[in-house]
This record gives sequence, C-alpha cells and structure tokens, in this order.
Amino acid sequence: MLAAHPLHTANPFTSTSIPSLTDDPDHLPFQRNEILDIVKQEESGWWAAIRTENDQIGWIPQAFVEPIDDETADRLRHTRQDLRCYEYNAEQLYTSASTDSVPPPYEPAEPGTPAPPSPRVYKRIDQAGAPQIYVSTKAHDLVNDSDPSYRLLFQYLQQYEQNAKYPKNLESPHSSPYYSHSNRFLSPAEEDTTHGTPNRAGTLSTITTAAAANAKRRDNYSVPRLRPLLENASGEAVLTLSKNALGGLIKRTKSGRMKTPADTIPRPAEPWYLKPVYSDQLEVDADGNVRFGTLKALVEKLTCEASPLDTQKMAEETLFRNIFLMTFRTFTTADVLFEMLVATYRMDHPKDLATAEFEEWKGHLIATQRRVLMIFTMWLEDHRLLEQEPQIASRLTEFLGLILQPPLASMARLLVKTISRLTFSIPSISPTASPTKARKSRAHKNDLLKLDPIDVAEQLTLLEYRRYVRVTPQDCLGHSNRQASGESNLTTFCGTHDRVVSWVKVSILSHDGLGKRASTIEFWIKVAEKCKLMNNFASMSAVIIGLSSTVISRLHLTWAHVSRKNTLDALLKYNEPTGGFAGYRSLLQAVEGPCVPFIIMYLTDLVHIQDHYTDEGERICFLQRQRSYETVSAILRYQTRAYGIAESESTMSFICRHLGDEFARDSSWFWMRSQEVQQSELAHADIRKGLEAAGF
Amino acid sequence: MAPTPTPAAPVINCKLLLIGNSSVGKSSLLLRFSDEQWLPEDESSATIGVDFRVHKMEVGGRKVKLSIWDTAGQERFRTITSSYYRGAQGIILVYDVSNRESFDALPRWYSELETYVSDDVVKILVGNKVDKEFSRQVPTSEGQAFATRMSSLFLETSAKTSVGVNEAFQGVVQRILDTPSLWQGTQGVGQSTGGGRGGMPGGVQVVGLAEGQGQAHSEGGCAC
Repeated sequence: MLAAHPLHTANPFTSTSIPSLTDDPDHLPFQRNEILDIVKQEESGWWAAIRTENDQIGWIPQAFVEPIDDETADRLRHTRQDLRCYEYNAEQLYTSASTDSVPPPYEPAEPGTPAPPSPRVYKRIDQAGAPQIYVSTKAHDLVNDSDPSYRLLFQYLQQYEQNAKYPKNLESPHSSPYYSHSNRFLSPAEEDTTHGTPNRAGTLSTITTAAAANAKRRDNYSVPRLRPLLENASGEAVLTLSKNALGGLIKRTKSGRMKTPADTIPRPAEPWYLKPVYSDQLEVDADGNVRFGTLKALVEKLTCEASPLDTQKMAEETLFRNIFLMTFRTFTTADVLFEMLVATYRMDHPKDLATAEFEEWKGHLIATQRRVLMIFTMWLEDHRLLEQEPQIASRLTEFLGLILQPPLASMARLLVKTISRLTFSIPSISPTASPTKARKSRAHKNDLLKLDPIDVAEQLTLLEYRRYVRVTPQDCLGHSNRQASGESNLTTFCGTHDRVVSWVKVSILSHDGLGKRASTIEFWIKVAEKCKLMNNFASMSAVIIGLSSTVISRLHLTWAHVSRKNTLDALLKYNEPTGGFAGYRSLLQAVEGPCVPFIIMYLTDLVHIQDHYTDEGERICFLQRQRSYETVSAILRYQTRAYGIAESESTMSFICRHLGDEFARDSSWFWMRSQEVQQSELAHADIRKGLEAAGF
Repeated sequence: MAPTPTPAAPVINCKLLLIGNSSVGKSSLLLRFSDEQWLPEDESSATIGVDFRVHKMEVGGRKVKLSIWDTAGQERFRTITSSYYRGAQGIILVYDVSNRESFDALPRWYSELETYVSDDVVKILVGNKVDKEFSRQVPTSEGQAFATRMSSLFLETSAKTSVGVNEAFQGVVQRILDTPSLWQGTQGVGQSTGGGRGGMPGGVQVVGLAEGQGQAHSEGGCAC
C-alpha cells in the first residue's frame, strides 16, 4: 500500500548518527521532520526516497522514518519544518484519542540501545535522553504473541512483587523496554491502532487483565495446560520460580531488544561431556511436551536446564517438574527416585577431559547439583514428600548433612530447615478464613423441617469442603488402579455424596403424610438452591439426584403439592451427563471464590486418559501423566479457597447423625418403601374420589 | 454437507449405557469398539471428557446411530445420576472374568437397573478380559447361566485382543431393532420405565420415519 503513493516524514535518529550515512553519495541526507516520498522499499531496510522540493533521490535507512498518510503529509508540508513534529504529535494524539484515552506515554531512552530491527518504524520526537515514543505501525512484534510463558512470567513477577521481596538493586521491569513491548503483544486488539504504550501506572493492570483474558481463550491449546500451574503456584514455589524467571528476564533485557526465543539466539553446540546422556530415550512432540521417556531419561530431564535466556523453555520445564513430581509414584517409587537424584548429585566426571574441559564440566555439575536440591525443595514443599513418604525425609536429611562445600551448603541447610519446619508445623487442614457469625439455631427437636434450609446448606457445605480439602493428588491418581485402593480421602468425599442422596430419599419416604412429604421436598429444593449459590456443587448434585431418583419422582400425588418443581427442573439441567457433564464443567469454569466441585466427570476423564495413553514397556508415557496432572489440578483447584462459615454445632451433629444412619439402609428398602407410599397415596386418592362421588 | 439423495432413509438412534464395577475394562471396551471410527459428539467432547460417544453402524440394512455412555471411573459414587438411564435402550453390563468380585457385584447392578429402566430394555452381560485366560475366576458357563436367569444376552470379550467386542455391540443393537417398542415412539418406553407408573420419563429415540412401516414418528426430537 505504501508503494503506490507513499509519503514519509524522515526523522534523523540523532544528528550524530547521520554523517556516517551521508558519506555514501548514493545516500540521501535528510533532516529531522522532513517529508520524503518513498519510491522503492528494499527488504534490506534501505529505502529509496525522493525529496520533492529539489528532486533529490537517494537511499535512506528505513528505521529512521515513519509512514504518514497523504492527508497528514499535505498538511505538514505547509507547516514549518521545526514545528512539524509537534503538529504531527498532536495529530497522533487526536486520532488515537477515540480508541484509547490514555495519552501516549514516555519512557526514558536507553543509551546504547541497538538499532531496532527492520519491521518497526521509530519516531524520535526529541533529542536523546528525552522521552521517546514508539509508533509501531506493524503489529508484528518480535515477541511471539502466542507464547504463553510470557504471561506466566508476568504473573509470577507480579506475585513476587506483591510479596514485597523484590530486590531493590534490580532495575524495575516497568522501565525496561521488554515490559512496554509486552503490552503490545498482550493486547492484540490494540495492535492495529497507532498509538504508544500505556503509561507506566497502567502497565501492571493492563498485563493482568490481558493475561486473564488470554487465559480464557479456549482455542489456545496451551492455556489449559498452564492454567493449573498459574493457580497452583503459591508461596515458596512462586518465589523460586520468580527468581528464575526474573533472572531470565533481566538477562534478556540486558541482551538487548527482544529476540525470538531460542531460534535466533545462536547457541554454541554443547560439548559432548555436557550433553545429556539419555536424551535419545526421550520423545518430545512439536510443542515441547514429552510424550514418552524411560525413567532414566525423565530423571535426567528433571535435572537438566534449558538456557536461562529462554523463558518459554523455563516455563515448560517448571511444568514438567510439577507433572513429574505429582505423578512419579505411578511409574516408580519414591526410593528409586531419591536414589537416582542422589546419584545425579554425586555424578562422576567423564574420563579424558582436558583441564579446561574439566573446569567447565565442574561448573556444569554445580548447576546440576543446585537443580537436584531445587527438585527436593519442590518435592517437599509442593508435592507432599513428608505426608507421602516419610522414610525419605530422614534419608534426605542425612544426605543434606553431607553437603559442606560453600556454594551449595547454604542451600542444603535451608532445605534441612524446611524439613523440620514442615515436620513440626501443625497441619492446617482448612485455611483460615474469618468465619461469619454462627447462626442461631433454633431448637429443632430432630425435625428436619424445623431447621432453616440455609443453615443446612451452609453446614453441609462446610462438611463437604472439609472432606474435599483432604483429597490429595495421589488419591485421584491411584483411583483408577484399584489395587492401591482402600479407604482414601477421595472415597470419603465421594461417599458423602451418596450419603446425602440417601438422606434426602429417607427423609421424604419416612413421612406418612402427603403434606409432610411435599414440604420435605420443598425444603430440599431450597437447600439445593442455596448450595448452588454457595458453589457447593457436590451437595447440590446429591440433593437433586436424590429428588429425581425413581423412588421419589414416582410419587406423583406428592409432587402435585410441590410448588418449586420448576426450580428443581432448572437445577437438573446441570446434572445431565451429556457431553461429559458439560453443564457442570461450564459452571465450574465460571466459579470464583470458594467452591466444592462435583467431580464425577473428572474421574471418568482420568480413567479415559489412562486407558488411552499407555506405557510401552520401558517407555513411560509421560503424556498420560501430563493429562492426568491437568485433570487432577482441575479437581483440586478449589482447595485453597476456604469458606467463611462458622460451624453450628447442633445442625452439624444433626447432619452427621443422619448421614450415618440413613446410609445403613438396604437399597431395596427404598424401593419397597416407595411402593408402599405410592400405593397409600393412590388409595387415599381413591377414597377421596369415592367420597366426592358420594356427594361429600 | 453430504448430499442426501433419499430423505426417507431413516436413522435409528440408540442409546447404550456401559456399567459395571471399576477396572473391568468398560472404557477400553469402548475404545476398542471400532477404534478410530469415533465421531466426537462435538468438538469439545474430544477434549473435555469422552464418556458420550456417537457411532454410526448398519445392522440388517438399517442405519443406526449409536450413542454410548460410559460411566467408567464413577464407581466411587455409588449413586450415579439417574439421567444416565433415561431413554437408554440397551445396557451393557461388564464384569472381569479374572475378577470374581466384579461378577459377584452383578446383582447390585441388576437391582439398580430394575429401579431405573423398563423390562424390555435390552441387557447384555459381557465377561471382559478373556485374554487373561490363565487367571480366570469366572467360568463361561457360570456367566452364561446368570445371564439367562436375568434374561440378558451374554458374550465374552477381550478389549485387548478385540475378541467379541464388535459382536457384543452389534448383538445389542440387533436385539433393540427386534424390539420395536423400544424405538417406535414415546409411549411404550415412557410407561414401562421405572417398573411401572411414575417411572422415569422415557427418552424419545426415533428420528424420522421408521423404514418399511410408513408410520410417522417425527415427534422424536433426540438430544443426540
């Protein structure tokens, strides 16, 4: 489009940089704020330009000019040259105002910034040291837009800063060009409009919202994969991660303008003695996910590190580590893993190394050792080492006690401290949230109908939540291989669901009077509604499953007295198994705040994942672990958000008593009793008809 | 998209439900049943849960659209939602021939069926994992006898070697086609489910015209 009748203002970047260009007679020397016509655009970044005033023609570097449209050019031609810039600036402000009310921001120029690469066009408004504005007309930035790791990185950075542990001596990422670029790629909608980056104060919020919006884009395949990571990361994990991420970021920043990760940074080939030994036993797909691998190769990958310059790889690696540590018990034992990690730590140097090579290898070893310690930290902090395999803890302490060399000794000491801290800390099962005032429970004399449905719903929620938080990843993963089963926390959690179903049925069927039955149904519908409001989908589903079960739904005459039938029908839509309980899935997606999820469909997912992706002998199907990790993260996602509900002792004990009692009933009892009730209903109806017929 | 030359060609919708104890191989049976021919119900079901599968097959010259609902992994919940049973014309009960416990649990599954589905719903008892012949705990004869008592079809399969898998599904569909009350209109199903009056509302499963009989059953808008 520019080739047709292009017009350009030309702005010398700085006055000092131009003379070197003007040495060449083919070049067209130009002044700041000049307007030139472009006649030819070369790929090389050198454009042929013509100065209309004196028909001078020559090459100009494209990086120093910026396209303007004909209309603006005409107007600017009639402006004095030294005022053109301001005029132009005002014009830009004016045109950008409609789409973006934020005025173009300024950022301090960085001395020694390498010349920008060709696709971007810069306009320098003022002399060096003064504010600078980028008016990038081509949205195609150097940062890969679809790269999720950047989002991840920013998230971590933010959390890191919120923790107020941000090292003071580091330059603020806000002032780095990286950060301002990130705005651009994070807000694709704004790419087309020509305007500057938002001002600094707005930077943080822009990133957050954009990242959230991006995370919601379901078409992006990698987002669901990373979401659990974003949400799981808390506390210490974030700290270590953000340290790494930050390190990577700063190096990136210092290395100059953005480069596309990995591909453009020429990495020297690693010498043979630093190469991973088992990498040929690893099968990686195009997205960098490990599909298959032998145990040795997987453990090696665990302690391998991608270039710290490569943030995408870093994020992938963190994900890999988390998947590995959550699922390794499905393909090996903790003892084997521990021994392999220790062996990696104590790795012997390869033979035939020259002195220089040995030194390099040694540096590499220390880095590997540091990573081994980091894996232990993650295992301890996030992956339940103490709960799951206490025998490892003592071995680990012993192992750490032997580390005395200066670079790693402090890290080892820290780890030992972590172990003792975790050992002696009181396990806080339910994260504390300030409970609301306890409800005044009226004397209910064991009559359900005298209770407040809201109270029942709240206490049920509290009970279910307590059982839900106890569910561990291992419960979920071990779920499908029956051999390892038994009474797990998951069974208890699922069992509560069944108990509630039974209770609902019994409470209705045990009433002889039709009116009482109808009110009990009404009562339960209210409970279900309240449960839904509280995001307690486990109880909600249990109640409506009970109500819609055959033994209850066949009592037509009872239902005729129920006014809230429509409410129940609306709730039942969520309980449709169609599309793998698509109703629940979408409901759960939208949840904010505390929640007790309904997890039946995730359990099916887990079985399908394990049937679909299977290990092939030595080759462990890591993709299966990755998928399982995603599903387990989805199941446990809400564990960290506690309800602020106070326990009401009388109601709670009432609930617990009934959940215990009613479950003892034989399944045939429901059927017999239901038949009995139904027949008496019909008999009463017949009597009434008879009476009516007799004239009463 | 595809041209439909004869609008009269009816497609009979069949809903099948797979139940049975955990680890008996329900989901692998489903996976094995004509491996790659699965049509995901929609794009999303390929990624979020695959317990609802749609499969097209032809039995006795009639086109049948099968939707198979898998309850694998949900055994932790003793009460699965009754919606699963709603409108099902065929139930595939699976047990593991090398696991006695899974066979002994069958009466419980049958009593559940009694509660939720009508008597004429086709049931097939499938003894899976016959590839584990060496560790067999349930003899074929015993399985056959139990199936006869419960008036069910019976077949032994192996999802691993795919022995009998297609036959099992085809057998169910054939029997369903032989029982027109199951797929001809609403009334028959609706009244007989739930073991009498007040049962589950019957699913409507017939779309279009029933071939060769010329009866209109167009009211059957199916959710599938």
